[in-house]
Amino acid sequence: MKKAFAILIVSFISVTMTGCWNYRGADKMETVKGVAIDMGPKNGTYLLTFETINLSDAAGREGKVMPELVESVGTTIYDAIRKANNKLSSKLYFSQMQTLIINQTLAKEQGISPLIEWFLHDNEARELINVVISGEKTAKELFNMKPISVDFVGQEICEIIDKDRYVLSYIKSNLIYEVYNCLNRDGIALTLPIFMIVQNGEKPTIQADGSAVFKKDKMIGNIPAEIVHFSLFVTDEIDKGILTTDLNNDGQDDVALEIMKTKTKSSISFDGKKIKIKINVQSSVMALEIPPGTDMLDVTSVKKISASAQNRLVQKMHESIKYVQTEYQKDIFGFGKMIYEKNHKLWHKLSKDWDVYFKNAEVEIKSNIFIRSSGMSK
Amino acid sequence: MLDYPSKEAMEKLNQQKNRGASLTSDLKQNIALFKGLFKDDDTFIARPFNNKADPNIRFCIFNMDGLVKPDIINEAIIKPLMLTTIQFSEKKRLDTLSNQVILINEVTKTNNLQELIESVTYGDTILILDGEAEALILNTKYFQLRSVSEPPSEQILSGPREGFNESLMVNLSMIHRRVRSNDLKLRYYTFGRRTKTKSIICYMDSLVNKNILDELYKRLDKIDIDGVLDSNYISELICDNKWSPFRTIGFTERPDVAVSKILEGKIVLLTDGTPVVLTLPYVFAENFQSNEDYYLNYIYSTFGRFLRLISFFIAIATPAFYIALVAYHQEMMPPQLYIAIAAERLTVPFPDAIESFLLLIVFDILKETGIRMPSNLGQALSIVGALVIGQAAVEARLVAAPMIIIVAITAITSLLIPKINTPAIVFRYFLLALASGFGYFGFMMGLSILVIHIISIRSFGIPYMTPIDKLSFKGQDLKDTGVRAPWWNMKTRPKASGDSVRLNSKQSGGNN
Amino acid sequence: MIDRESINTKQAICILSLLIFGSSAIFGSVAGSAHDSWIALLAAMVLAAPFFIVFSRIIKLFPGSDIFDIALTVFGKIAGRIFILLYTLYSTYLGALVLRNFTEFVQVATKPETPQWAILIILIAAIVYLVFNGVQVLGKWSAVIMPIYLIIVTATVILAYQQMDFSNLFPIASSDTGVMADSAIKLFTFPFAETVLFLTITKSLKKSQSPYKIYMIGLLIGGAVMLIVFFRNLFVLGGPTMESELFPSYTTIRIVRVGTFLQRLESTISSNFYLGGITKIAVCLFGASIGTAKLLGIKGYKKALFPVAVIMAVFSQIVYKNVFEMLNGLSLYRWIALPFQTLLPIIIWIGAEIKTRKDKKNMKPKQSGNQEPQESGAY
Repeated sequence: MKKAFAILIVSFISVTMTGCWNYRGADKMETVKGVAIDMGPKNGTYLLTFETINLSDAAGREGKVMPELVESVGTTIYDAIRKANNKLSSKLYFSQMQTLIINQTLAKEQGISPLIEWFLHDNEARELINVVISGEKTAKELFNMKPISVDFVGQEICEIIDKDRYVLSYIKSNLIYEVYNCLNRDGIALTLPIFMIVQNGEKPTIQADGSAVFKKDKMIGNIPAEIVHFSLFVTDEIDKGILTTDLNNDGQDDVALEIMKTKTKSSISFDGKKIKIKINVQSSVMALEIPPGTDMLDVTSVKKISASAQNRLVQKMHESIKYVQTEYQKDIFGFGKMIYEKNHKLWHKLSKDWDVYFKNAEVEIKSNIFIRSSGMSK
Repeated sequence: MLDYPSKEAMEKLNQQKNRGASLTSDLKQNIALFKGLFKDDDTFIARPFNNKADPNIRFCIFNMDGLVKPDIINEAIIKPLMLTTIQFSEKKRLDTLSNQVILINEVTKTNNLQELIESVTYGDTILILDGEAEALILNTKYFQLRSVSEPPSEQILSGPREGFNESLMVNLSMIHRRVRSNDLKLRYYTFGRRTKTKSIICYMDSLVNKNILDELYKRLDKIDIDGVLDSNYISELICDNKWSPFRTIGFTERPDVAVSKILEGKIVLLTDGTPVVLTLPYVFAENFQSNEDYYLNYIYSTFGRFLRLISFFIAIATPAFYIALVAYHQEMMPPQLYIAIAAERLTVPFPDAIESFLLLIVFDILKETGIRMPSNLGQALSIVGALVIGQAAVEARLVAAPMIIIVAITAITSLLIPKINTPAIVFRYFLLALASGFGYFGFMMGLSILVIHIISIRSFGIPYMTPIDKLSFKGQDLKDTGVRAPWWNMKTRPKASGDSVRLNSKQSGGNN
Repeated sequence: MIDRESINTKQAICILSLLIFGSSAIFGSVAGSAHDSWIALLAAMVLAAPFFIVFSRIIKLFPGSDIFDIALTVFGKIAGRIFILLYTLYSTYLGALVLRNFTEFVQVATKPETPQWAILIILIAAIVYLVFNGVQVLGKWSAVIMPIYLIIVTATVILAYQQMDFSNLFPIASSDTGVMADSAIKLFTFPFAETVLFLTITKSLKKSQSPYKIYMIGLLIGGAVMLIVFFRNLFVLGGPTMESELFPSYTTIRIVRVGTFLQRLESTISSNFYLGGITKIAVCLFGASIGTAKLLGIKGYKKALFPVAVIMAVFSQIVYKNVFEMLNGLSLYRWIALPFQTLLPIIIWIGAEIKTRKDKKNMKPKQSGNQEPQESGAY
């Protein structure tokens, strides 16, 4: 009997002393969907804007959730996060956060390493946060836009980036753990997508537009979207996309090919003075827009189309590599990484002056485009 | 219910009552003795009479009103004794009577007073002859019984529909009819100091594990209780693990189930006065088996078994997992789901854990009520239950809709597995408590404790989780646990019945 | 009559494998060598193999007894008792370490505000319950847990396929040889050579079972699973992240996603860790309680169980002040543990060989060690 009593009492006590420390009712949290970091009013402070989920209208049959913006100033990122509690009754909750928008001036002057520190350490914030740069003057004004398809800007940015792989391949994105890898790894320079505000008919909305280039963790400039697109061909990060070309050489593109599969193989060599890179792109496409009257059953016409597309692709890829070589001299393609992986001793020799080597590197590109079909009609 | 004096005290009491009495040769004294024993019992009848041819031969019969069939007594006992001319040899006069005169099929001679009392209270008639210190016990039992029908708790779609009833003899007949062999052994056993309930232990001699049988007898001998009214009394007294909620002794009300277990080498215990019989040993896999599995197509049965297995886990783990998810690990939910649940939670007064406890308890109350109340109120209850709990509570914002769904799922799946009801309830609340306190970690710890518990208990020495815990991947061992292999594939008896005769027996009776 | 103490070979292999990857799989890499940690792992396996043979040989010489009995038989009462004391202390220490790893993980990764002792109490309750029920239940538990564990690991590898970047493997063997050797030794002591503690429960093995088979297959399975986990983490995370994360396996699972629905699966990996950790700590607790019982002359280990468990729990809290000490402590731990894992077994082995030869020469009728396992009482 005594034993039973003891057990009973112990279990009662332990029930009251349980780990309810971490018990979080879902309604007692401000769920953050996206964070924007700008410079604060005073020197050395940050202004953080949180896009949170406002659930007050959400209960009942027609749940509507609305974004709510909360601002907060602090001396470090985490400081600003905690200070937000001055305005809120519940704690901020980051597990659902999807996007981090960084002010470009901040990225240029301070570098992004201190900004992403907290998000890497905290166990709530997930590794899958998308980091983007704001193409406008401040980062928070992106949150003022009304997204087209979903309720939250943070979610919209994330979905645009995710879907882009399978649709257009114009964005080179980096999740936060990949950002960390890039910054700490040899031989590749970081790029992050830039988002701007554009007019969509009457209403303004956000759009991805090109990438920002970084030297170590400081931003040094941006690359136009088209260059980014072709640079993705170089690094074999294309999943789907379109190639257009001008068959009749009349200045107007009249062929559009949808990429079904594409693979880029690169090899790199060093001849003592210069880096030589060979790139070979194999693509398999579907011809969805062709000049009217072209006979697809005629082998020569098909060959003409693919030859024209191949030339266009090679030319554009050369352009993009040249652009980066001359404008920024930063190896965003990862050629250095290729050397490092093949022959790390060589890399150690070259790494100090890699920017120079990159600038002077010779690239040879070959492309082979195979037209599988032309859709539903000939 | 009854208080227990110890065995020794009870015997002393009996002896005092009988005052060291025993039968004498004098008829009048014997009659007085019996009338004294059954003093305030008005149903006790004493009928003295003598033989017509020789009036010096005097008899007296005793029986209890209502337990005997008067026709038998008149025709088979009184008539021949009264009317035939009896020639006695010098000694063994009672033997002459039983061999030549009395027309009863079962006759026992004894002078043990205790035995005489037990038999007359069961419906036998006692015959005393003047001048003999022994008596004859004559079988004249006749009493009203419930007719044989399908037991309400074990109904099936297609198959035999006989069920045990309260008479030991009738139940015995049902088993005997199905096993027409002398290998089937049936041993009587009596329980209960005051009730002296009869019971029968049955098994197949060539299949049973003798160790288990010995162990069973050992434990039965240790039982010291006033009365046994139902098999469950016995079951709780002889099981291996007193504190475990899991059943380690099976029970059934159907003869086809009982016989199939006998054919597997298990032991069946029938008790007088209850249609429920016990089968032992009993392992975990049997909780999910139903006799119907063997009467229907094997694919359908396998599917049914999977459903039951899954239901067990759902019934135990769902509330706990939901609480762990919603209260501690919100990051595990996809964003849309999270928003939906968070929105619901805003409107509700209680925190999740309390709410789930309340709803589960309310559901259990409903279930209990459904069992206990008179059936004509059934309609009202289901309407009240559904409306009040479901609709109104949600509309009044007392509970959140997702919680209702969770509790409903738990409830439905727990109804699917009636045999394992008790452990399901115990562990459901246990896991819920742990998950409420510690989130997913607590949930996993609770599950671990559950698994350790199941692994560690035994049923009469056979580990409860046979054959899974030995990691044997031989098909023949697993053929009857999660799946039900077709009949042409089941070649050996299940491991769980004690491994007495394993291999090469033509298709076993299967598990029920 | 009813066998309550023995475990069959399959169960023993499961126990051993779980001992190996139980708590290490959550770490998923070893500090210092990042993308070459798999090489260090292979080196550690090769290094461990001869010692495993020594362990098996010790059991083979004295089947049916555990290392405490063997120590007593081989070295006599006094020296034998010192051995027992040393191994009991080692078991307690290791158990406390793993406990600390465990509660640290639960706290850091999932519940920052919950104090560790609350987690500890629940954990200890489950483990004590397991150990209380005997070695056979431990064997069955391992047999049940192992398939679950393997299925979960396989599932995570398959799901992670999309996120894998195989170029993370290169450059191969580019790390400093010194660093790699360092990591290899770290991996050797934690977890491979800890299987010496399995010798404390070998009383449950019968003469007919081959300890070589148990140890070697256990080594293969344990090593293979760890290798798979290392590779998976490497391919998904990449070198720098793997280095900087405290629990790379956990981080990997957070990243794994298939489509939009199948993501955020970190509960699966944490369940793996809980199950494996329980097994490992249970073996340590067995070793410590049996050793304590033998030292104090108590029959059976159950009476020593609760006090030893409490000591282990308390010790786990005080052994390190913070996480960094815990990680650094791994470097120190090696040197403390090495003698237990290498030196002492070799001494015991040599002593055992000598003793058996001597006994064979003297033709003693039957040695105390060559018995079938005893049952521990009736029902």
